Amino acid sequence: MHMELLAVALLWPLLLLLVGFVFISGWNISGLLILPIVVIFFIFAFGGNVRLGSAPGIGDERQQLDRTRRGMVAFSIALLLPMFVEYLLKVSGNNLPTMILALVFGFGAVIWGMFIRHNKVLAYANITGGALTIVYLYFQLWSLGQLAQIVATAFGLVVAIVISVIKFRDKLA
Amino acid sequence: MKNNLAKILFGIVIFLFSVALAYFTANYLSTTGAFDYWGTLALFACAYAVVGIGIVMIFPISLGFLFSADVLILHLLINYYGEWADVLKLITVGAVILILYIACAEWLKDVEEAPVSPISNTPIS
Repeated sequence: MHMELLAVALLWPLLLLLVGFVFISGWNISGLLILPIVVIFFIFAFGGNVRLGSAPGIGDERQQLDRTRRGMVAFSIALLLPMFVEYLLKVSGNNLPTMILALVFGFGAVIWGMFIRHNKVLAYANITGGALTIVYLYFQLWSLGQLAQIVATAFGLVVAIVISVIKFRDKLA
Repeated sequence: MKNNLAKILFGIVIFLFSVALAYFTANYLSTTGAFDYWGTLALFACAYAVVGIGIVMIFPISLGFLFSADVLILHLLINYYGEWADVLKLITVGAVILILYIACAEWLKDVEEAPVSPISNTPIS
């Protein structure tokens, strides 16, 4: 009983702290660029009809709160993934092997998000976060020269073909 | 309903007073040179977090103190986060992502939709 009360009491302060941390970390990395990203994400997460796996139906405050909670968590993961990669590259000194590892990480997040079942929060967070990570990495890779460009495009092409084969193959039977 | 409104009101009052107390004390101590401004805020944040968790049975006090601790921690982060080493930032962000993944897998699974009951075709007599 005490643990349940503690969980309920800690939930919102922790979520607020989490979103605050995401803002501060994003500001630290990209400065003013974080603002339009946050606005766009809030419009998608809270303005649209995306339920993120919460209970169906509208009007009930509990469902609204649940939806908001899920949106906050998805938003945080989606923005923290590219930040993690940014720090990883900074620590490693922007070298090619780490970039390729980060590329695998980004594509891995997208693929995991596409195939995960029964957890829409993770699905949306991974797809958005992975996509942001990949876009960021391609910008970084372009500055490393022609070999890096070939590796990056080949890798992207292979992943896109594999996903298409697995996910969108027409069933003849 | 009235009781809930009173709880929220008292929570907000406790939040405002606790934040004000922390900042006034930090200002006073730094002006007199007795203690560092940011150190005082950090101590208040820790104390508020401990008190908030400790008296969880009384929701307005608990939430008031926990949100105050949030404000103080975020203010400290705004001031000091840029000075952290990149490795520390990497570890922090990685740990937060890991915790979020665990939380998602444990508590944020999709809520199953209730099965729709078949519509009866029998005429209402």
